[in-house]
Amino acid sequence: MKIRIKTLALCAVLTALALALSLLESTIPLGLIVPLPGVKLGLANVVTLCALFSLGFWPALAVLLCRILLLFLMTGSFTGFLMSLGGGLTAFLSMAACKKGYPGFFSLYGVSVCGACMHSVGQVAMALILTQSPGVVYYLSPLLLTSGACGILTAAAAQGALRAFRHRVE
Amino acid sequence: MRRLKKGDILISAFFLILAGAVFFSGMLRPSGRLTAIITQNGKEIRRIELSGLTSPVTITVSGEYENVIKADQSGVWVEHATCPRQTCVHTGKLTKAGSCAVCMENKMVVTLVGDGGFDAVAG
Repeated sequence: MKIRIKTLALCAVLTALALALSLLESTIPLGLIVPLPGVKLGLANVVTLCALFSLGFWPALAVLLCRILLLFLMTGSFTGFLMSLGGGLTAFLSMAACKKGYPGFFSLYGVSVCGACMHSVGQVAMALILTQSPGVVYYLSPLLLTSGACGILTAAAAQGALRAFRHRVE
Repeated sequence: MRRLKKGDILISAFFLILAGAVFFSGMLRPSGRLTAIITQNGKEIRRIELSGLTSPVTITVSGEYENVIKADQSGVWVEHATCPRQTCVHTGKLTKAGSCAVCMENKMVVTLVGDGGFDAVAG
């Protein structure tokens, strides 16, 4: 596979941006308003969405995996790493699947909401595996509601970013 | 491009229904006599029958961090914890069967179980 240098450079920039956004959002104490584990704005998903829609499947997956790995190296939390991996991959694969129906069946909002909700599903599944306790499933309903709302916000942000971004990419 | 598509509504509705279904399946579970089960790394380390308590009890779960759990007749809660995120403390008091407080950092879960037992419903 031949990788264009421009794509490679864009991936690096996007990874850096996603990493910065992940660190930024970990300083926002959203947990005080919604006392649930794993509640966050999902700002890094704006980058994943942009990468998926402007660069395609493989570059976007690379950006996602690099971000999760680098975040693990910076925070040193292995549990956090597994949780992000579980959530991130389910979200990414569901968004890639939804993209097949874009723009006919889904708009960017549908893709983003699906990704955000599947992120919760993935995280709860990972928490289920890690804690071996079925009660964790009941976190899913409030998590789905908050992540769905955040999905709308990230879609709005990604839409604006993509409009500006597309002129630069091609 | 800005307009919402049919799929957007459908996918949102799907996740709303899923959230509702999970919520109601949690509401339907029997309460009655409550038992608090504390697990760490998937292994049960303590089981307390709440209705049998005459005075509040305190349990300390050690590990990478420390969780101090309190239980009385009406429920169970994490009093304080040394973990950085404090999610388990913010969860507050558990009073309904099926609810739980999780400390991901310590892989510790406090679950309340009703008469019917957990596995009967959750499979």
